[in-house]
Amino acid sequence: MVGADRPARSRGTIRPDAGSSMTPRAKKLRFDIPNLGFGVGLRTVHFGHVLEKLPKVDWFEIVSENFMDTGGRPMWVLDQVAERYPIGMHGVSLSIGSVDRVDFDYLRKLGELAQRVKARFVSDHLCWCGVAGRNMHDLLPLPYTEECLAHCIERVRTVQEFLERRLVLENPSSYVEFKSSRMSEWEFLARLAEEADCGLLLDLNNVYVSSFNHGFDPFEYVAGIPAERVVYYHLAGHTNHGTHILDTHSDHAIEEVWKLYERACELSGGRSTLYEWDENIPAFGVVHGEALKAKKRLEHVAGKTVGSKGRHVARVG
Amino acid sequence: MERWFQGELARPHEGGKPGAPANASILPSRHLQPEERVAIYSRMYFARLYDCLAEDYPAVVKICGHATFRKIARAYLKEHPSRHYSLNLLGRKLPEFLDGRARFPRRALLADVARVERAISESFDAPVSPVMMPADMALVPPAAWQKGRILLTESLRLLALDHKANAIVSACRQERELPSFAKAKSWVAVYRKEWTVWRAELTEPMYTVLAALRAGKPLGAALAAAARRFEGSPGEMQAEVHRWFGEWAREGIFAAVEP
Repeated sequence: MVGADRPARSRGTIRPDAGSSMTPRAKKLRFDIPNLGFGVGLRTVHFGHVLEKLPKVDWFEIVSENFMDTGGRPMWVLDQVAERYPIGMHGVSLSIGSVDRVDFDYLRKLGELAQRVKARFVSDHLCWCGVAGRNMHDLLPLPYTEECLAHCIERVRTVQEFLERRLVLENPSSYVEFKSSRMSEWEFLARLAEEADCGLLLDLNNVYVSSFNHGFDPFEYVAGIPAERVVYYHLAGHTNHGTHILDTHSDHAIEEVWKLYERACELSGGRSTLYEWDENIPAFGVVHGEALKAKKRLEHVAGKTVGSKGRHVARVG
Repeated sequence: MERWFQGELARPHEGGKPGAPANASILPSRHLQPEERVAIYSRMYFARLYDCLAEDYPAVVKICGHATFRKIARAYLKEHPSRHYSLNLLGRKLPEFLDGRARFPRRALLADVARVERAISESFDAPVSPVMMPADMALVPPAAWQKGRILLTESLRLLALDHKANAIVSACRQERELPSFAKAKSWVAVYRKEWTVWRAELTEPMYTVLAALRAGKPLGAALAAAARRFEGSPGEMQAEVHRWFGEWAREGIFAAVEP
């Protein structure tokens, strides 16, 4: 699928297949947030299956905005699901990097929903969604400059103060790079997380997509993310157009993404993991099967480490 | 930077003066020039919002076809760009837009069909409200019915239309042959019952009663308004009113009676 277009990896990066004897000590999560195990996104097409079959899924992630202004069936379904499963909330409209003012009405509704479903965490993306009052309904890229970093730090602090909980930010997929950027995305995220004291959601598919589009080493990216701040991982499939990859969440994850996941688990010891599938969504069992693959991958990482070090570094949730 | 980037995303679809060239701000990739990279976002912007509008208005799309609906969507988004975090609200002004200055074939018909489809979306997402079932209604003192206010369920939408738009929407959804597009008055109630949205054809007097109750008028005034549009004897009207209210109560349209 990727072939010759796959970006070269730098020589100095530890590869997951390079042997677990090189694995550093796994970093414990800095925050008091439990490892929920292996979950999937709660999607409308699966509502009936989930309510009827009550599948053995560790947790569900919801797209926050889909439940913020509805009193209809989606909210009723969510209430039923939240009674039975842990819920993580994942937003797409926080617009943390926008120069528009923070939307406190949005934050109020986000907070109310988090309380209602007893959300274990609230996440969104390192991006902006619009300016001058418009919403483009996309996760738009930011220039990685000192000015932008300071702006994002201030807004993350504002959001956390308002919500009275820690925000978790995800690395986005992107299709452009700004000339004005003065640091890598992983350096920007690491500094943002440290200085704003927020959590990170590391999407390994996004790392891969952006590495293809921009030509960086995805393993260098994973190594540059402070593992102790990673609250959970995202996995997904994408669409390769040859000249660029789109983050479509429309397929199985490719092997390269699984390798990145294994590497991330080596560094963190394993975290809550979520498989996203948003286009051409197959039967629930297929999506859940991807989440269970993640469990096997983590067991593989843990097994390798046990074999070489004689101790477990990963908790298999 | 954000204003420039946003402008470049919208410009291919909304027109306007070109901004600074992309290569002033954006790096090329191994395969794509800066403007091609920005165009990825621009294409996705319109595709995403188009899909959302088409999903909310499938009958409108079926009547006018995707090519015309794309033109409608472009013109609509230029006049009503999204300013809300929820895509559910993106198309809420489409019926009024089609009724306004827009120039599209069959726009009056499209506006009526859009009204029905918009009402379905609104009813789907409406807040939960209490429901008075027939047994609850039997407990209401007779005086309260005459002078009190009858509150209707939050999910109820009442439509007075110039076309048989509800029948057209039903035919579209069931993939049946479409009925006549000729002008003809029609009245429709859209409401949610047990998490499913239902649509019911009304007569003009039925619509008049419910619209008056929704406007906060007491039952007596609502029935008097309906009587002016009822073709039949007072006795026949009384029998009809009894039947309407029984049906509406079973459908969960009444929320409460306020003294």
